[in-house]
Amino acid sequence: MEDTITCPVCGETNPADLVLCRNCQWPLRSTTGSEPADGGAIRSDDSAPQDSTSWTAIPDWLRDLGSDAEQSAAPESVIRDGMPAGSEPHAEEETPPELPSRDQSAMDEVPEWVARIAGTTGSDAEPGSEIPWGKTEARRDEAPAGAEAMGPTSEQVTSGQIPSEDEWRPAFDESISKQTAGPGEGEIYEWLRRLDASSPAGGDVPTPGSKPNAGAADNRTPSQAAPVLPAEVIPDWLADESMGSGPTAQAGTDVASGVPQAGPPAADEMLSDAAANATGAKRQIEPQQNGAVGALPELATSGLSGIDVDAVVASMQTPDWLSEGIPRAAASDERLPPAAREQEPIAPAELPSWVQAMQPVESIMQAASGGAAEEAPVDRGPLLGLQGVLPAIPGVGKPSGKPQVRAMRLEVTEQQRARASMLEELLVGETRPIPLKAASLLGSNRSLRWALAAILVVILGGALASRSQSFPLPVGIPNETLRAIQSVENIPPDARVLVVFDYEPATVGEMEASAASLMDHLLLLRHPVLALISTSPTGSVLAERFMANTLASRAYQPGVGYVNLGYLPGGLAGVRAFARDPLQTVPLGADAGAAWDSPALQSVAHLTDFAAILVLSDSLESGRVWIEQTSADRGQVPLIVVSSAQAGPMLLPYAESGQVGGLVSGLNGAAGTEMANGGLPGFVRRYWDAYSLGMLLAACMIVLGGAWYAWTEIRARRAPVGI
Amino acid sequence: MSVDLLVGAVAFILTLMTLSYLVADNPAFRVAVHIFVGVAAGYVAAVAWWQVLWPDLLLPLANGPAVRRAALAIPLLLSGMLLMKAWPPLTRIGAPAMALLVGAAAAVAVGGAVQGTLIPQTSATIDALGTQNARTFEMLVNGVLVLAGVVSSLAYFHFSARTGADGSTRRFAVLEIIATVGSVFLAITLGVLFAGVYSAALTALIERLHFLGSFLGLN
Repeated sequence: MEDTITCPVCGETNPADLVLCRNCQWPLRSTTGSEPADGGAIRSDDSAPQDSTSWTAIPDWLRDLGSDAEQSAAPESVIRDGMPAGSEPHAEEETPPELPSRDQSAMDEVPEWVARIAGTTGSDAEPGSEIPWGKTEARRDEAPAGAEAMGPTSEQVTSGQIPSEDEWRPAFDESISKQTAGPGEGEIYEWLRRLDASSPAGGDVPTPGSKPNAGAADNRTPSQAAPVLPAEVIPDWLADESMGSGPTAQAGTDVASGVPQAGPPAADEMLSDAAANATGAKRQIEPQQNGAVGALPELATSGLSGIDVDAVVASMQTPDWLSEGIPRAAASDERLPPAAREQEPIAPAELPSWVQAMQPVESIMQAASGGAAEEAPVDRGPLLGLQGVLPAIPGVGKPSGKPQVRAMRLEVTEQQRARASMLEELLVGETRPIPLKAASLLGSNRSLRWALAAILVVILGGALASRSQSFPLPVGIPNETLRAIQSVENIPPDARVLVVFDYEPATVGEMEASAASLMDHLLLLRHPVLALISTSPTGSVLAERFMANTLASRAYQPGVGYVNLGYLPGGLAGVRAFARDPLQTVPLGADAGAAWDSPALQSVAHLTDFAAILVLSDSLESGRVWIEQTSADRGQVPLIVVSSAQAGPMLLPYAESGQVGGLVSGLNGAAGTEMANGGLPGFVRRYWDAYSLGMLLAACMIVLGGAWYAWTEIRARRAPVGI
Repeated sequence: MSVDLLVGAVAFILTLMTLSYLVADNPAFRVAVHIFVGVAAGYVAAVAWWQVLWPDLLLPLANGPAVRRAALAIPLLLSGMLLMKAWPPLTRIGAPAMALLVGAAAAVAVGGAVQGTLIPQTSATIDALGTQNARTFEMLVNGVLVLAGVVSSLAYFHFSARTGADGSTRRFAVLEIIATVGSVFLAITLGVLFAGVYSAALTALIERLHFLGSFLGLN
């Protein structure tokens, strides 16, 4: 059993189970019933000859022709395996009795019509009966003497010693001149020249690569009659066939129509017609129309009984690959079991409908038959160079992307159709998205935003403008704030205090209000000398603003009461460096003067020389940097943090753990320091009513907004949901 | 017109332009923002030049001793390499300086975090129930809350889970309960942070409204 099939078109090796060639989509098996039982697959075998003379290279059209010939009861007496009797190949020499199994399988693929023809070549052989090798030899001996000169014998073909035209044509011409009595020598050469002219190969023995001039033969008319072949050159089987084989004659009427019955048609015309019908049978006829069936038998209708046509045909038109392949089949047929040699016609294979539907070739052939593209020569495969042999349909002989999609229509009843429609509607309804009613976003409502802004501005502005003090300051002071106050109060008088201004201009309002009371408390009680520094480029100017505006009442003068060290670059690395060596890290002040040489900071060389470190930070990051990077170098120096309300909760753990000496967070923390400072400088009190109203308003808006959202949600859920 | 009044008028106008964003995004707000960004950038550049580059780098290179000059040649070279980041074809030249910058900053940050936050905060949490910090009932409850909050919050960020028989992934049952408690603490913390942000913004608004009222003589 072979597992691969060679595509006859492109030569692609395909798995045996494929129907179409995976390269060119050419059907590897024919759907016609005349094909062998194995589907007519052309199988590949490495051991088999790969040349064009191999039997496996026989195209489908020839097999169809054989099937058609079988159906039309073709004569079996003359042509054996398509070879003339005179040139009967030495079958026993070519194919030894003990053939390899591969050859045997190849012989199994021999169409039965070939086997029958081979079996009935001898006059004494029964159809389908086994022909003894001796008889074959005897019959070969009976061949005309000049037959050997009529063309290359199969032996020569098999051995690859194909004589050239110059070698065999003189002998052939001589033989013809001897056998033909009617036509003269000049006529013989005349039709031979025509034959040569009609052949693209110039009269050479056609090869699979060559192509018969089918078109020219189809266009012939009786008026173009060539020299008539005498009756002597017509073999007996053709003569018998001319007596009127009914089916054959009818089948061949389309070809023979118009041929005058009175006289024999021209030999070259008949041969050309036969070749054309043979090579173009696949494309010209429909499966049920066996127009080409009588292609060869049609010769018999011409009344060429006197000519050894089989010899002529074999020598002139039989391709060498056919000359070799068919005798092998004949030889193999002799070894076939009797059951395999039965002459019953091969029953047409009944392919399932789905298999037929998968073959797009027939539909394409039917649709595109008769096109101008049919004349395009084959450009690949074993039929290379042949013209009109295969339907030159665009895309058939060439690799295509994918097989054509064929619609399949089911036959369903109305009830089934209604149920299918209902099921389809159900499925569509399940997958159809139900549009949800989008909840209105409060934040994107411009009017609501305007309303809230107006409420805030009006309420806060009114509270500030009225200078109301309706809301009392908080009674309790947070623990971290208390510790900050205690830390400030523990600073020795006239000590050096480092103040870090690490906040941005955007939070000046909050930071100044939060730090003012503590700073005022510090300056009021201890009169320290301040060293101002900032890790923010804008910090130094904010420090100046703080000292000039917020603590203006304390009249601290730069260079005396405080020294602005300016900007500390480097971020946390700068803080780390400053903690390790303040003098080297910031040698100059904000005014580019020697800050550390000033009387205010002369006694400071290290971080521990400061009595306290006060960090004013509006963010967690800057506050944490100072806590972390100075923890190893500040010793017991208290670090007090005044932070924004947004950073206070995150800095609170440092105050709870004791890493920070105190924490004043936002306006709420500043309220305690301001109370501890006797209500000075009064920023907290000034802002407190507005601040309290703002917080209360925010709480109310949050509650009302949440209630509104919950109500709309509940209402949306109660609303019936339509599908 | 005094300088203070002029400065106050400019500040008043810019404040109004900024507050106009309450109505909608408008050209006045964008002009104010652009002015602020431009002024801030110019001021930062001036600060960087007058407070960093000139006194700490260029001036010592010009007038400093040879040893200091040699020492400052390294940051000068690195600064020049860092400037090459501005030209895409020469970006690779600035890579070493950037690597040094990032590496040094990361090292300082990690060291400070471990020494200033991780170890001290862990120790403080452990000591929350110590005799020093749990002298009273209130302090004891506070310590329990701190401990429970820290542990449950850490458990909330423990995402390891097992795949059950039905294919669902779940954490351990005990861990799931603790994580649920931790989510409550996290929610409270986020609420506090939101309140702090609102409080800071509200204070800033109040300060600006107070400034406007003061400029107009309303306060």
